[in-house]
Amino acid sequence: MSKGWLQNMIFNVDNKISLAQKILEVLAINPTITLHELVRDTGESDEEKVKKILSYYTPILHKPLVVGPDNVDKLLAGNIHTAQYGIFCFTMWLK
Amino acid sequence: MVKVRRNARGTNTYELSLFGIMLVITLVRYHDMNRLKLGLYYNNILFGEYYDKIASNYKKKLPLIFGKWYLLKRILKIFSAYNFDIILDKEARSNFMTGDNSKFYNSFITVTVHNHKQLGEVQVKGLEEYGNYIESKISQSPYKNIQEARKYISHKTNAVFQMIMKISVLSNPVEYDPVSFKEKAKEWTFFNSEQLKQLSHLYEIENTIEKALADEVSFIYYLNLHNDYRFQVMQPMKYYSVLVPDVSKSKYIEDLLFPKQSLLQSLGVIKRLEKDSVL
Repeated sequence: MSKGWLQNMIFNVDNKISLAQKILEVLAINPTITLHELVRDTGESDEEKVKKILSYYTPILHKPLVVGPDNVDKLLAGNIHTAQYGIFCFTMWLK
Repeated sequence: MVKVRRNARGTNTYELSLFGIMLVITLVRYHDMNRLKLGLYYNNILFGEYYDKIASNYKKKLPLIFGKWYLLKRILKIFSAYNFDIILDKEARSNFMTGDNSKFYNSFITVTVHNHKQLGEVQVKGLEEYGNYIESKISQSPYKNIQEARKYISHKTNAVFQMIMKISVLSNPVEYDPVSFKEKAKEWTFFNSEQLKQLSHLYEIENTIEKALADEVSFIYYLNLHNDYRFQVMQPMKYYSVLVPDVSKSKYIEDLLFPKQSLLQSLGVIKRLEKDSVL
């Protein structure tokens, strides 16, 4: 991932440093800053642009996997992690 | 790459993940190699100084390296920064993965895979035995209703279940994030809110993926010092050539050419400081 990212975000830019690079560098030198401070330190006038870039690089929460009638076939085919299935079965059994 | 936290005033703040830090280190090093067409955004910060700032700002992300940065700098000097090349460059890594280092690394991986397999077995067996135990105690419960009895016994034994949960997290740390875990755990009535908070904390990125990455980075960083004659680095080293224009005449380089000696020196100092409880 990092090789492709470097290629697209750093090496293939022509006339100005990409906003993604600025954000990374600003956070490396000034950690734990607010969006307002980040916008100021990157010298970007459009806050929405900073927000958009941040949305690409911040973790996305994922919903827990629920084993039910819809995906029981996947479970039987071994496509669902058994540790979670173990806990799932156990908690269903406790109910 | 970027982590969001909510501060005491309820405002979101941003910082780099360890992966983000490694990317910035890559940028700084590529700049030193003249490979960044447009350079760095902070182009007034010198190569060594940039590493110092990152180490100081993100001590907790790499405690075995950034946490001991000034000691490493004292012994390795500018190679404390260049020694990261082994993490950044596949070719440098493949050159160093020979002989003893390769054996060290491969046995480490074998032990990890074996431990993971055993951990999975303990988790599956633990769940099974825990279930059997609860089932066997139902008749001794003060509740007549079987569901109530199960709930009562599981409350009494939830410390065991918590331990099994911890093993489950270690087996598959990316199964949930803290929020989705809490959401899922609402179905489990036998945990109180404090226990849920503790368990969900296990799924924080810094306790799972970041910790594993930090261990890997630290291991390779120090393993690169397990080398009798020279540091495995990428070329060129612009900042180094400014510091040491004529390598053959420099006393500075004489002390540095032997990474293993530096490693032993670092470990000796760390051991002494730990004994004196300074670290």
